[in-house]
Amino acid sequence: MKEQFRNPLGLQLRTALQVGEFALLSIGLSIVAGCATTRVEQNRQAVTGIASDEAMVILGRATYNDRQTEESFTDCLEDILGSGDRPIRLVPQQEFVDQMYPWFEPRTAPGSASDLGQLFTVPGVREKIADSKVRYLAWIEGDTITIDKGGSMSCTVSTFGGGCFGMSYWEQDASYEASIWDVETLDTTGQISADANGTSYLAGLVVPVPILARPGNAACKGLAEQLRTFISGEG
Amino acid sequence: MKVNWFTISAQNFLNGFRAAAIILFLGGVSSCSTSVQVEGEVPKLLVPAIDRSVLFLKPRSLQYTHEEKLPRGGDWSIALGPMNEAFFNELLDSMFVSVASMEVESDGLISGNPKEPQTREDGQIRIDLVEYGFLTPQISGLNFFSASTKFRIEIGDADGQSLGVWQVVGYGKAEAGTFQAAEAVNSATVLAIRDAGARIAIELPRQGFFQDWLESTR
Repeated sequence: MKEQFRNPLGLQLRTALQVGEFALLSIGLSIVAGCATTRVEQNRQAVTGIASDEAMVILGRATYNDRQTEESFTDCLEDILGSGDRPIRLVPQQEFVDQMYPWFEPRTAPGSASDLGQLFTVPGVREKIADSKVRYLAWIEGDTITIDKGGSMSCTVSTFGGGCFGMSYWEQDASYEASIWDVETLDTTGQISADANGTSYLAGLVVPVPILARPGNAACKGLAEQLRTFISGEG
Repeated sequence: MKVNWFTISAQNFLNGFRAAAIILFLGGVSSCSTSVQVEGEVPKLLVPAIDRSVLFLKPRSLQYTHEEKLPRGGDWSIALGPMNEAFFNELLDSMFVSVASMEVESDGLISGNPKEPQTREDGQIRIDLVEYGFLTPQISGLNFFSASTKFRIEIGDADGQSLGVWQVVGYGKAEAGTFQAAEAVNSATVLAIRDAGARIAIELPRQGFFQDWLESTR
């Protein structure tokens, strides 16, 4: 047995198998990564720029219908924008909404930059925002929905063991738009939209093997990087 | 004696499997009953305080605990009392320059206020929780939990004469991850109370009877 491991031919065979496995893994990962395609578009209406002591707030637009921006999406944007080489100072959404209560609740939040101007006539509102040095409000609208699904999979468990067989898939579409308001000028400075689409698979080969596309995550990354460029006035 | 290791390991496997099945069953049984003590952040109001003093009457309805058995959703017990108490204390403290509070068992306002006329508050405010409801995704077919609250607000003068009644509905919804139903119901309920509070802070002072009271106590 030891002789066989010392055999150069055996070593080559093992190496070839490892290379094969690595290649399969790489192909698999590239397929997974390739499942989500993202498109980011920007519409600039005014010049922007942010000083190091100024801050931005990411606000998920809440509605009373059956759709609303997921908290996990705005958390993802905050995580990306608040880190990296050029971090932007962010005031956390909940902290800002609590500080401004009752003016930024789903029912009472301003719907446009001009509404914000009206809100600034309420004593204390403008001063509160100025105290926290918030320069921009980025309102995020949109969500991730499943637009198609199919296939079938059945799983069985018994005292002798179990397993899953079959394949199912679901296609998701993530569509988000950020509308950026300048608190200083009370204008809308622009909009950035990010759309991502991807299909996830769950293959049952005794053990369920998920191959997940994450369009929501892809849209978040695309929107966050464009938002960073937009706010800093580079793009 | 010869030991059959295969038989032992197979028995161990079956015993382990049974134990896992019992644990899963017990987990399923316990998950059928959910108890929520509603709690959340109590924000301060960013509105100018109204230059009046009020007596805040706190009825037992604010201490309401909602009990409901949902088809395929288990038993729910949702205690709103502590959140209502903390929230409305803070709300009224911010809305008016001076607030005294009193727990009441009876209906209506307090007539025959025992305080001396010069130390009496300018008016009374009573807040009752009259309705509470919540929906799970299984019932609504939506991707989130939602809750609604309905409060009845009665304003009276210093002697307990009713000046007007106003009802307000608050709504809140929250996403839920797997095994996070209780947290989502809590969040949705807190948002429903906040929503009602926002309407009370902004819209109550615009009501005609409230304006009349302000005028009469000028």
